[in-house]
Amino acid sequence: MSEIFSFTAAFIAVQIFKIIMFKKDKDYSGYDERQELIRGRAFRYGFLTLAFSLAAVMLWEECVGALPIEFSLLMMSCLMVGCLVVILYDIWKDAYWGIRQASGSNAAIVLMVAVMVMQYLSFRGHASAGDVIVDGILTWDGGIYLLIFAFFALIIVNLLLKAWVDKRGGSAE
Amino acid sequence: MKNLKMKSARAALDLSQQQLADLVGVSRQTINAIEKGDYNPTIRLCIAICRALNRTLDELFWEEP
Repeated sequence: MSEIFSFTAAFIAVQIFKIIMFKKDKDYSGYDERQELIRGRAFRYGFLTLAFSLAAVMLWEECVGALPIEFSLLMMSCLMVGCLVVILYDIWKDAYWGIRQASGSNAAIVLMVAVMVMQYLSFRGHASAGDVIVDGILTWDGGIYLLIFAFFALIIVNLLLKAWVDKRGGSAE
Repeated sequence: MKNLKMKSARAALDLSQQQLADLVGVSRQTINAIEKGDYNPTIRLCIAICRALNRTLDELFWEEP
């Protein structure tokens, strides 16, 4: 029952995120050939990163031994690293993954910070309950919140860095 | 190679990169990349830019060898 509630809540959150993000940037929902080209490359790099990271994890576990991380969390980490490659490549190549297309559009960052705060609070709850590391293994229950926190933190840092680099370089003329 | 012809044509119409981007239906970053010579646009986008700036393809995109 709680899983159904979680998935429903996540679905609603994604729909709200889409409405907020693409309302301001609706002019860019059309075909931008340069951005499509970059996103195509980003997806290729993301897929390759995912494949190599999964292979590396499997190889490590076969040759060296099990990592002190729960298997499902390990797989999710590989998936998120692949997603990060797609997103960061888009950010640095000015394809922006559909966000911050218009200057001064900070709604995405505000939403991501809100998600990070929620993840941090959940992590703290699990940490105080003592179920983050059990028998020397980082568990899904504790680790997933840290993982999502780090995921969004990296995106925000890169978005802000790119904005700073653009400002210094005077990209808008 | 920088596309200074396109940049000057845009400036002559007193358009910002954002305004030109809105006219041709792409992002400001794409217009910036074309002017900086970082991106080689397709003929479809070249024509859209020429129409928006009231210039011909030759005037904006032809490079003398």
